[in-house]
Amino acid sequence: MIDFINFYFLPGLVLGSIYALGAMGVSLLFGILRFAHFAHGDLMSFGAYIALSMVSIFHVSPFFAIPASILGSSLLAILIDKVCYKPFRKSQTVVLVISSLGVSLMLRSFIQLTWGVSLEVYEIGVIKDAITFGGNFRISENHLVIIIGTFSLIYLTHIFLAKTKLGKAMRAMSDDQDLALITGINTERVIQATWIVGGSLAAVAGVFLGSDTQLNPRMGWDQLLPLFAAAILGGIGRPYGAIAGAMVIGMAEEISSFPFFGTEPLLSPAYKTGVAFFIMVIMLIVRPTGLFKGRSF
Amino acid sequence: MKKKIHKLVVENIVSGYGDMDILKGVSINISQEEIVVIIGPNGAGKSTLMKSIFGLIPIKEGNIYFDEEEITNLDTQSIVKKGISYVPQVKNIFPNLTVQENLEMGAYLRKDNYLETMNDVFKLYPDLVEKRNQIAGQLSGGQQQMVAIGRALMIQPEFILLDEPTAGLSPKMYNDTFESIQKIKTLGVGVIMVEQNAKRALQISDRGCVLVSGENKLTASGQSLLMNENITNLFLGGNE
Ligand SMILES: Nc1ncnc2c1ncn2[C@@H]1O[C@H](COP(=O)(O)OP(=O)(O)O)[C@@H](O)[C@H]1O
Ligand SMILES: [Mg+2]
Repeated sequence: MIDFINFYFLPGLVLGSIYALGAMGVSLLFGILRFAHFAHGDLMSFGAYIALSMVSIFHVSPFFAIPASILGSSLLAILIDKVCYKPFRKSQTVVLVISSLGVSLMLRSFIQLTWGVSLEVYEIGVIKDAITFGGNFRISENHLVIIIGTFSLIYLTHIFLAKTKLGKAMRAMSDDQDLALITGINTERVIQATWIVGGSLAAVAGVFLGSDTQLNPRMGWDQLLPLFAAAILGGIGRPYGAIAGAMVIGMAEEISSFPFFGTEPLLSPAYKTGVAFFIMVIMLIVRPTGLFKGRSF
Repeated sequence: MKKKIHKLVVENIVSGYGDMDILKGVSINISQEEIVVIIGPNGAGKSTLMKSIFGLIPIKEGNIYFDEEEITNLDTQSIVKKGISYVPQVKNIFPNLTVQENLEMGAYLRKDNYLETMNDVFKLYPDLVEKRNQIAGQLSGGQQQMVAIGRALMIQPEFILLDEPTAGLSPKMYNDTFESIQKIKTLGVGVIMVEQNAKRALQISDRGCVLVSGENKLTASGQSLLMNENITNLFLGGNE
C-alpha cells in the first residue's frame, strides 16, 4: 500500500498535473477557436527551453524562471495566432488543424536550432530529495512543487473564468460565438486572452515536465496524445473536465505498471503511452461526448 | 429638457446569402417609443431583415440610417454601441452561463455601472430574480426568452430587434411576454418585432409591416392592418 502511494499514486498525480495544465489550454482553445491545436505540446517545449536559458544565464531555479517562460510562450502564442491562424478564422476547421501541425514542426525546428538537439536538464534548483510524511509516505520536493503549483494555477484559472469580465466573456464565446458577437463582445480580444491563458498554462506545464524528466525538442510533441486524450475524456471544450481527464490519464499511465497480481508489473512501463491511447479509443466508442457532456455542434 | 427621440430608417435594402437575394428592396422606419411589427409567411425574409439591420449579413443596395447617420454595413459591435440590440429567433442565450452572467454579458460594452439596469430587468421579469444564479440553459423556454430579452436590454438600447419572441411559449408566458414588450416601449425603447401570431402583435403595435417574398407588401397602422380583409385572410386566419 505504501509502495502503491509512493511509487504509483503520487507519480500519477504529478503526471496528471502536467497533463492537466496542457489539456486545460487545449480545451479552452477548442471552445473558443473550434479547432484542435496540435502545436500545443510545442508551446510547452518552448516554455521549458526559455526556463533553461534563464537557469544557465541567471543561475536561478527553473521555477523562478516561470514568469519568463509564461511571457515567452504567451507572446509566441499571440504571434502565431496573428500570422498562422487568424487568416483562416472563417475557413474550415481542417485548414486550422493543418496550420497548427505546420506551426508545431516550425516550433520544434526553431527549438533545435536555438538550443540544440541533445538532452538537457535543469542543472540547479530542482530538488529531488524526498520529504517523508505520515510515517512512510515519501514525495520529492520537486513533485510537491509540481502538485501544489498545478492546483494553485487551476484555482487561479477558475477564478479568472468565474469572476472576471474577460473570463466570463471567454465562457460566453465558447457557448455561442454568434451571440457573443451580437452581444457586443470583442471576440478578437477574447481570442487573444485565450492564447495568453493557454500559452501560460502550457509554459508552466513545460517547465514542470522538464524538471521532472529532461528537456529535448520533442518533449512537448510527445505529450500531445495524453493531452488530447485528457481533453476528450473531459468532454472537449470543457476545461474543468480536462483537469479530471488529465488526472485519470496520468494515474492510469502510472498505475498500469503496478504489480496488482504477483510481482510482475500489470503492464510493462514500456507500454505506458499506449494507456492514454487505449482510454481515448474506449471513450470515443462508449461515450464520445466525454465524461462531462462535451460541446455539440 | 426633452430627450432627443431617435429614429431608425431602413431604405430599400437588398441583401441575402451569397449570390441569392432574399430581401429585394425593403423599407421600414421606427422612432423610439414605438412598436413596429413585421408579419409575413415563413421564409419571407423577416429574420433576414433583422440580421441585415444588425450588420450580420452584407447589404448590397439601400441604406440604413440612425438619425442622420448612415449605419449601413457597419460592423456589429459599432451597431451595438449606437444603441441597437438584437434578440435572435433561436440560440439567444448563453446556456452555460448563469442568468446573472447572461445579463452581465449584455452590458459588456458599458463602462459605467450597470447594476441599476440589471435591477430594472429583474423588475420587468421578477421570475428571474430567484433564478439569477442558475444556469440559463436549465430554465424553461419562457424564462430563457426573458433572459434573452433582458440581456439585450442591458446595453440600455434605443432600439431592440425581437425575432419571434413568443414562438413556442405557453399561453401564460405568451401574455407575460407581450406585456413586458409594452413596458419596454414605455421605457423609451423602439421595438421592432417579428411575429407569427400577428393578431395580438398588431393590437399592441403602432405600425405593422407585411413582408412577402422579400418585399414590403403593405405598411400601415396595426389597427388598419387588422381591419384589412386581405391581410386577415392571408396571415391572420390560422391564428384563431
Ligand atoms: N443562412 C442562410 N443561408 C442561406 N439561405 C438562408 C439562410 N437563412 C435563411 N435563408 C433563406 O432565406 C429565406 C428567408 O429566410 P428567413 O429570413 O429566415 O425567413 P423568415 O424569418 O421570414 O421565416 C428562406 O428562403 C431561407 O431558406
Ligand atoms: Mg424567421
